[in-house]
Amino acid sequence: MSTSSSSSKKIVLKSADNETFEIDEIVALESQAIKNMIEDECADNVIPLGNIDSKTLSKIIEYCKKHAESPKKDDNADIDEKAVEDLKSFDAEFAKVDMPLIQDILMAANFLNIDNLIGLMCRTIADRIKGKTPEEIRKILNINKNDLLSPEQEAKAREENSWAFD
Amino acid sequence: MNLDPPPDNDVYVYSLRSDTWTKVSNSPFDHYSYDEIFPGVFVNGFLHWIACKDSDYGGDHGVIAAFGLADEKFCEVPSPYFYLYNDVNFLSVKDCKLVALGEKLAIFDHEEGVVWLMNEYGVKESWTKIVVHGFSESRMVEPMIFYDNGKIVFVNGKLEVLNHAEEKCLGKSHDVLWLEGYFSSLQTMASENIITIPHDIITDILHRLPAKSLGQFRCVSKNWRSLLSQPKFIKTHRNILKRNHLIFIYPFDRMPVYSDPVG
Repeated sequence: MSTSSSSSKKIVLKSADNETFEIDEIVALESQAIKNMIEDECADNVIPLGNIDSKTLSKIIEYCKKHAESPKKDDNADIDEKAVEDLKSFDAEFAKVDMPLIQDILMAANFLNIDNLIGLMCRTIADRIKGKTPEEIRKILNINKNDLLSPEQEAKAREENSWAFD
Repeated sequence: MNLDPPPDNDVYVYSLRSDTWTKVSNSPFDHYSYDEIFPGVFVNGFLHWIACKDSDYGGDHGVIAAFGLADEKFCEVPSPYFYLYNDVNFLSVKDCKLVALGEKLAIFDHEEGVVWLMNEYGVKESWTKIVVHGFSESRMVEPMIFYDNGKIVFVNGKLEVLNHAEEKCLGKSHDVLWLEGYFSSLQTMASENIITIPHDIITDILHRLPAKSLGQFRCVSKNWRSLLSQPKFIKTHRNILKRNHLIFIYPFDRMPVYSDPVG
């Protein structure tokens, strides 16, 4: 099914910094939250997204566009191998951004309830923190200083998990 | 408006209503011996300053002078028990300033990183010492202290959240939070901190990590340690990894060890 015809229904999103984005409804449907709004007929006007800035929102739309255009697994049992590979490499390229933007995209995807994108961002973060030391993790993920173990507790935790530090 | 006070050492109160200065009782304290003249700190209906008073032994020492707005009289608020040597009170030699933290009067010693908090107004025994760790390690450019929602917040030069202070002798109702950053950056810092990854998403991320990382990450924080030790987490993690990996071994340890992800 073709999605980009000019006659298709449009949805307008407005970012926190007041930029508006007009997108095809089919693209917006990638977001479960917007899908619910459309079904409840709450999406006739501009949808304000007060917690998502335009930089993040345009990344999200880029992702949704690509995924809306790609054949869905459950649509068709024997989907084109090439399409799957294509989507995979799109995802890999898409995730090549810095951590703050990854975090912003993740928070926005969580808010908009876009399952695949949440998964992609979580995988990306997991890949990036995999080989890191606990000290590095604390820094990267901005662990609250009130949540730190005391030196004695940390020594104990290291001893109990010494198999992991080899 | 006639805002210039009369030019002598007597004490006058300015009334907005009558736009006049009225002379009240003289201050028994010497308000001019210390370099820094700062605005009175208002707590419990009194304005407070660090001032100088003749000591019984001769010489002078620092005291907390208070001026009651109700009776327009001066009195002295007891200082903490703390003398540097002989009878020289630390207020007269240390770089201290008075601050109001919530409804309480406090002395902020920004050389040492010590806060004295008067838990019960006017009660000498209620002075509580709070030691802020890591304070002397970084040079305070323009040290500041705030009270916010039950927490005492220190602000210093660099824009990074540092350690929370040791809650030594600290009243139950207070936490001490120690921030670095200029006052103007507080707003930014706060919003940066709000954008942390919620707990359920952290769990989702950790589910995707190899067991070896998870073993190490039990040392990251108290929250992570308890999360990564929960049977529910370990079970879900095992199920996710089973789908993706061929080899898995159960060691005697609480955490089953799997092979690292292949490819």
